[in-house]
Amino acid sequence: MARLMERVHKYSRLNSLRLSLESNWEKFRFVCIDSESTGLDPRRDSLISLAGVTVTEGDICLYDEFSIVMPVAYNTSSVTVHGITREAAAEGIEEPEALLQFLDWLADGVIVGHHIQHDLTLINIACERHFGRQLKNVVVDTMESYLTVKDAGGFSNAPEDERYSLDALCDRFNITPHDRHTALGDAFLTAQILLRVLKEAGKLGMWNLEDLHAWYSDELFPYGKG
Amino acid sequence: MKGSAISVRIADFLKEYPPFQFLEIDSLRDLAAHGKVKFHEDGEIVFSQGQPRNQWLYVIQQGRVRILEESDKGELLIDMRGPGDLLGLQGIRTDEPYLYTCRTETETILYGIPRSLFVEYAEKSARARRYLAAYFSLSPAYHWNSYLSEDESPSGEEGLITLSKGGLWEVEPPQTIAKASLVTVTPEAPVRDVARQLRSKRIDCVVVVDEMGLPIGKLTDGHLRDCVVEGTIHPNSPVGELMSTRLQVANPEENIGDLLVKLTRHDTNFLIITEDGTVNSKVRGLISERNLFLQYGRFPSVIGEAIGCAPDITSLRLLRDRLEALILEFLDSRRSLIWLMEMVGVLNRKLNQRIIELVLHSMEEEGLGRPPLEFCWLMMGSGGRNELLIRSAVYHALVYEDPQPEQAEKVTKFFRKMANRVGRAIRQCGFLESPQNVLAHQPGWCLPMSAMKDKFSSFIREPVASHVYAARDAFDFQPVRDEGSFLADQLSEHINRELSINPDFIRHMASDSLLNQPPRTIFSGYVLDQEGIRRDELAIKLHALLPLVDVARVLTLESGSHQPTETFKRLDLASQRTKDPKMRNLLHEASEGFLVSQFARISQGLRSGTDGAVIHPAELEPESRTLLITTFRTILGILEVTAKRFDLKWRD
Repeated sequence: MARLMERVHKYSRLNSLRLSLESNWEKFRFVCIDSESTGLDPRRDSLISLAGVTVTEGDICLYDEFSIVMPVAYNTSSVTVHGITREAAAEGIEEPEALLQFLDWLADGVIVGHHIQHDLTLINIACERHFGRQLKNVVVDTMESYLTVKDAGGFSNAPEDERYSLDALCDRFNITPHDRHTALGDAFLTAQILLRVLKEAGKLGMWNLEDLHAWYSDELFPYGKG
Repeated sequence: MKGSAISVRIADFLKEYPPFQFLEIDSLRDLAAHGKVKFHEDGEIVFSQGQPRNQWLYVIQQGRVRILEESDKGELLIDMRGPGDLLGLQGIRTDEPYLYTCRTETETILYGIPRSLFVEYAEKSARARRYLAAYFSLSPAYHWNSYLSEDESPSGEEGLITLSKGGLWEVEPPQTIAKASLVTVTPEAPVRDVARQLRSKRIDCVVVVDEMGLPIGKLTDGHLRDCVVEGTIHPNSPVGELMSTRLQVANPEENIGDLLVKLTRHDTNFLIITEDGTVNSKVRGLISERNLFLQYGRFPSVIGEAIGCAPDITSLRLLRDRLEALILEFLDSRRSLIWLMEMVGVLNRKLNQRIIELVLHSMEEEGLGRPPLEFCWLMMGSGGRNELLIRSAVYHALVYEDPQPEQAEKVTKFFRKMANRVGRAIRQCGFLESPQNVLAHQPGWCLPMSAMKDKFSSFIREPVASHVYAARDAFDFQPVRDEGSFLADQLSEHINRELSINPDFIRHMASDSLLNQPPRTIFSGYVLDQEGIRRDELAIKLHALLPLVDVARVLTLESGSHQPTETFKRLDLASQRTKDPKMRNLLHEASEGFLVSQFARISQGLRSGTDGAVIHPAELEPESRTLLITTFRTILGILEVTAKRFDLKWRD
């Protein structure tokens, strides 16, 4: 347990100096993540898998990719959505170790997700449970940042009655939704949306994290102390 | 290695395209897992000419990218690339800066894979290595040996060149071909030793060099055998007494297409590669037909040989059919079109030569005798321009020495009979005929020299009265045979002289060349003209090729000569002549545009079994379509400039 905590501390140290939301995002490492869980109720359900891919300087870096599966009781409906089999889940890595590997990889990157709140809540609850603390990274939700950039005059050819789900935005950006509903597949789609959002933001001179509607991951959570 | 879902997806994409299709799927997944994904909007620079190269090699996943050469003349379009195409491959090992600028034309997604890792995997696959060698050799920017010389130059301080990996298909294990290298001997070497070398190294030819390493002769297996049979050689004689001194040389810069043309043109089986492509520099390699043949399976020079000894017209026709199949096979880009046009030009001439031989032979057998005077068969029109890849309409003429008055009737009779038979044979080989009747079997085009000169004089002096419009193609001629070609030269001189004293003629020709105009654009499978009327057919010959051919002819005649005859060369030369940078650019683009249009015409024509004069835009590859649209604009530009230059009315 002591060694586990060392790794947690390493993560905490990396994030002890919070990024200012006014800093320029151009050189930052964006960590696009997605998770799968046993259900949609953060108080009752738990993580099944965590995955992500990073975006640095406008490129999706496949060499900086993460994917992990945790063991879980095979008794919920959502596994059929995500397609993780009983066997795969049974062979997974126990939650504390999985989370630590995730934190190692996450480091001080800017977390990015589409409707990220649900994933963050689950991760925070799990981290709180095992390590007594929550994620401290800066967070950007691709839906929120898309809307912010759009409000600032970007994406001028967007349709009137636009919807903002992952599928709708993929459709809008002509991104083929491969491997939808797997954590890594969705994270990759999110990363592809992020590339477009960053490109458009850059054109409008929106170079600060704030311009992307960023916030801190340990804020705004009703379930924080579980 | 299993790979994540993303790298599996990317590997699945890559494996559809060369050279990735030659790599193991696990290697592809590993490449993808070490790669990245880039997104570009339209009009963005991927990398710029002269910029230092980064570690990435890019594959287009979706979108279109223009490859541009930037020079003081402005930007020149080198190529257009689409899904599955590579960007930034240029010479695998070197780190020289980017040769070209890449700019996206649409929203584009690129997969970046690490160059070093790619090289590592590609090296392990013989087929990938060969593909890359061919890629470098067939791409305009690279020379056929660049990959080899920087990759694994064979032993020897000069780095001997062999065509070891230049093919597209795997026909022999690469090591076997790679070892087929140059063997040189001195002229003093005894024949016995040379024969031993030929046997032990399993080669067909040795190159005899002097003490400086310059080529002075060659000795082939076959020649040696003949000498033994004839008993003209002693095993101890020096090879210098026996060697053949007729050497065909090439320089290391020539690509496979050039080499094929040379082999075919010179009827030789071996090309000696020297440092500067002349016999006055050191030998660096040997290209054998067999070697090339192994790379290409079937081979144009074989058809050339067969044409030369075809027994009758029927077999000639079959050979021309085979040639067409071969053109289709080789026609993979408009770059290969350049050497294909030259190659087919050579073969068309051979075909005509053989027809003339056969006709003369049969006439002699019938007791009609041999030709009473020297004559020259002229290929005109697209044949004369080396642009007759498809058997569309031929234009030809027969000109012969001026007869003495008393023999005139007999001579005329002989040559008319001959022209009739040759003309018929050409028809039987499947060629169509000039709708304007510019044909040697028409009395007006089978003439003694002085009458032919008069004919061209009247075209030039009285273009309207002489209906030169219907005979424009006659200005693009070349002789079919070497014998009698002095007559073609005399005619050329005469034309050039007439042109210089009748400058108004050029303006007349210029005005004629404004008659055909390209459509505005191609949109979702339809051609749109300036009124916005849609058609599902594009008369590419009439509306794209003809205006370019006509303008090119005007520009060439204006420069005081009717040569060269090839449209793309004429335009390129005009581009080099002009001092106006904008004009230079436009002319260069027009030359490219000719190749683009010709490529579209030939590939659709051959596939559909038509002469390709009319094509269906809906069936065009996206790349060809885009390039054609650009070409239309270039043609409009060049017609406009031509009109302005000659003060002609253009577009009411």
